[in-house]
Amino acid sequence: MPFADTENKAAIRRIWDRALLQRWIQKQNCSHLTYFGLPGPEIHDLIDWKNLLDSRRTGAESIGRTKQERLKARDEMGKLATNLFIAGISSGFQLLRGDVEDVILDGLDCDGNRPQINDGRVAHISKFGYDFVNLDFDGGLGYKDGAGAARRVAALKKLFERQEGHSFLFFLTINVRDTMGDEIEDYIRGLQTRERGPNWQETLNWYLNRSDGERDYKLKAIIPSFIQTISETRVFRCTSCPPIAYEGHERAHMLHFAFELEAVILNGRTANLRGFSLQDDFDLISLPLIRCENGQLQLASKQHPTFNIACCASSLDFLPEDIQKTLLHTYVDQFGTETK
Amino acid sequence: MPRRANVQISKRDLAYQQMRLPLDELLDAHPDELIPLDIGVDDIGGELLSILSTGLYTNPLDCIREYVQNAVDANASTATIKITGNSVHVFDNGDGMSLDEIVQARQFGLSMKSLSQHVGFRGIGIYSSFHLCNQLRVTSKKAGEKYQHILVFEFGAMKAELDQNKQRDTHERKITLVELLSAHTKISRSRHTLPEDAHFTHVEMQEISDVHIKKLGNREELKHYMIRNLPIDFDESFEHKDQINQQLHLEVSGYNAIMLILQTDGLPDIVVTKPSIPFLQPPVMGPIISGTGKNARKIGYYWACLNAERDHIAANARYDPRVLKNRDILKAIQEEFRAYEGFVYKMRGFTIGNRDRLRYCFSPKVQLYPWYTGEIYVLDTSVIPKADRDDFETNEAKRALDIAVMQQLSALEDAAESFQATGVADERVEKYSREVARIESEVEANTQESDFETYTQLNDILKDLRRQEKKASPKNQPIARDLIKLAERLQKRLANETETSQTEAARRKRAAKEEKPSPLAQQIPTDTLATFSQERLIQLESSSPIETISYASQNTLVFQHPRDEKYASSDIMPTTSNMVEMSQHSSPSVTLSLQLSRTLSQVLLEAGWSLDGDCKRLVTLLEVTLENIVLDKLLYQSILADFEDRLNNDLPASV
Repeated sequence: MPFADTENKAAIRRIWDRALLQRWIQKQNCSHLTYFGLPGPEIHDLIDWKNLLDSRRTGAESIGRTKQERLKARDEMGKLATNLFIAGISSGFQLLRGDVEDVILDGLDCDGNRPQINDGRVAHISKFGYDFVNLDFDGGLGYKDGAGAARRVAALKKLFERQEGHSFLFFLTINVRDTMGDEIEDYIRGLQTRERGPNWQETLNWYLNRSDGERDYKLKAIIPSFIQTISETRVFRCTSCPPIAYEGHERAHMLHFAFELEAVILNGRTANLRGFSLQDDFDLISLPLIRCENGQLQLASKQHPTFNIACCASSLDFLPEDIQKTLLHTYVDQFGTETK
Repeated sequence: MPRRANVQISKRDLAYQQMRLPLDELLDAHPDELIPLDIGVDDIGGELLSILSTGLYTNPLDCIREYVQNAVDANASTATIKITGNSVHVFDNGDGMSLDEIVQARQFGLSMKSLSQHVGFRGIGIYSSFHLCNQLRVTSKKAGEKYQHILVFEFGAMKAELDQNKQRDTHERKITLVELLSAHTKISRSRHTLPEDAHFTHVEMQEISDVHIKKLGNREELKHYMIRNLPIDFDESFEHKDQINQQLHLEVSGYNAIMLILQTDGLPDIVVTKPSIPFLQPPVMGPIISGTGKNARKIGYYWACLNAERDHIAANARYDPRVLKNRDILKAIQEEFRAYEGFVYKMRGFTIGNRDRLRYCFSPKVQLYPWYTGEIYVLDTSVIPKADRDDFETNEAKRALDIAVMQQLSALEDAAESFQATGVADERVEKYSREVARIESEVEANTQESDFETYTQLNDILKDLRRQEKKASPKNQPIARDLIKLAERLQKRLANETETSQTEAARRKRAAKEEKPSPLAQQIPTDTLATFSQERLIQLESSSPIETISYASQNTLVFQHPRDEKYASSDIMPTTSNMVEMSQHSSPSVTLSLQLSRTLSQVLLEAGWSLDGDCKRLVTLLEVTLENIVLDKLLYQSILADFEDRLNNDLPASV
């Protein structure tokens, strides 16, 4: 269940995400995108992207665990439905009850209902076929259970299995706080075992040395790599967009990622072995960090040491020209140097 | 016998005494008197809620109907029923409820609705989903109000509490209705602000059991149930929609027909409307009056459309545009239309009973009931529908209604009979105009096979024309008169010729030598004529929209839809004059039916009989027998004409 709307979140949705959705529609040569995600009771995303989305939309809403949570969840579901009707977008919308992780892992919600776009096979092996997945979490990426398993991470891996063979656009929003402990640093150290050119180790060290207050940088470094890795094993070609850090509801530190996932098709059939993305490890680690403050998108003043503004333009080419210019021409680095 | 207390105690005094005195003492104080006995809050158990909702709403669809009915009562123009997961939503764009109104809505068995304006008046409808779902949420906003309010009934918790209640010992105190409802009914105000002019009501039934959700998920059943039980509007394309609605709005207090949208996961939306049945006569509308003179009063209002095709309403399915695109769906559309054959009682738009209920008002022999579609709106508030709406409660008002409706429907039956007779007469006039034209051309050319046979043929035509002239439409009556004059003139000429020099044998010889075929035969190859009779039978059986088969050139058969081109834009069917004009001038194509003798089944169909099953088999048998035995064409025609006479004049078979 996502947080209530904020000025920053609205700006990301309306400027950044919208441009990405439009580009994806163009690339896929379609008119509208089927949706799977977490719209939340206020359904801001569904309303803002109304004219870009197909009527077949599936949303999941948690039902809560404690009595109090359950009452709240029912209330949220009621609000969600009312808002759908008021906005005139109830047609084709399917509301699944349960945690989205469970829906992805089990292929069913808690009432035994399946996402409306599926291939008809039994739930545990069935494939989904959504054009756009928007997982707008309020919490962090990994909340481990007692046995040390992070269900959300498992669900992300399963998502690519479910979507295998169907290209899709994927938005992921997470809180920087999680209980993954040292696993994030371990991941960066794991990357260090690879050799990716002259500035590779230096850049990774810079990320490793970020303090606890700068956890967004560490996540920014590993999430694109993680998503690329798990998607390639499911035969997708992954393109990561620059991550956006912003302050959300109740000053929560949030990170927003976007990925374009193209299913690799050979001779009209899904390839079997793996996908190969055009971006390599260094490209991913070098993606600029965008910040959204007071509803304004800008390049974060603090970037990794090998950051080169000249290389940024290509990763922002989906944005309208004026916004691209504003972003690139107003960069002031951490030392106060303005780049024009 | 003890004497009655001669002091009358007022209700108020008694109540006061009841408060002060134990009942035992009170009864002692007022021996042999019936005294009011107070029922307190503690005297009504929570189980009443379960008993009432189970008893009144046996079908889960009834609950949906209750909520849509509230939408109608709130003047909504559109209501949406959405079934997603295990929830059902009913959203309407009606007036919505203010805080006071939403608080009132939770009242049990108390309704602020008026009996004459609204259908829901029992004040229990909101609890109809008690057994269906675990939570009922009603969100509503009235125009001009700043907030929306949400009323929540935790039915799941109520049911759990009642179950616990049942486990308790008999002497233990059970939960009362007031306690049960108070503990599990909540209200909230949403911070989410909407434009001030926004107004709506959203009813959401959450956590419905699998069995019920499956039943509700059957869209076809849901659709038909809603059409049957709710004031659903006509399809936009129905030509008489505006006329009927306009009149019903004027005459029927509280009439509000809505558009209903059904939304289900993974399937396209269904817009539920009453179907657009093509080729109906303009509606006949009027009041249903009970009593006469000073005692006359309006107790109902009706509208009725007669099938312009002089057939069952279902038969018009063949003209539905969907059928013209895909003939496979003809049966489904026929079934859909069949559900609208005849009349049904409506109370502020809601159906009471079904269309078979009023069939008895029509004579069973003639079977004209299914030629009509219509509704009878009950305006008399003393006529009370039963809770399950299959009929009205028996009382004087109901009897008066039934009698007045029977009178009105009898008048409609007469109108249908007269319409049928006019139709048949017009057809005959058209047919005879062609036949007389043919005979005239033969006589002019002196190529008739036999003067006597032609004379007899004209005689038959004249006999029938004289009968049909009065029944024909005003437009066709002068044509019939002209035809009679022409036929008489031709007869006279034939009689003269017979008496003059040219012998029959000589004339026949000349005719045979010239081998001049009839105008029709000139244009139709013999093999086509030979096979035509068979084709025609198939055409009748399949109820094909192709009614006229024309022969246009040597090898081409042209199939004409009865409402084709010229006549599609016209209100009238082809008349004698334009048919003759067609055959003589306009087109080389000639209608084949000119040449064919009529069959028994055709005569019966024209008289309004419906030939199905055994009846159809019997008629086919009779036809074959007649054709085998009666080899003389004229005799065959005479038998048919006589039969037709009896049919039309309703003569008993023994006469």
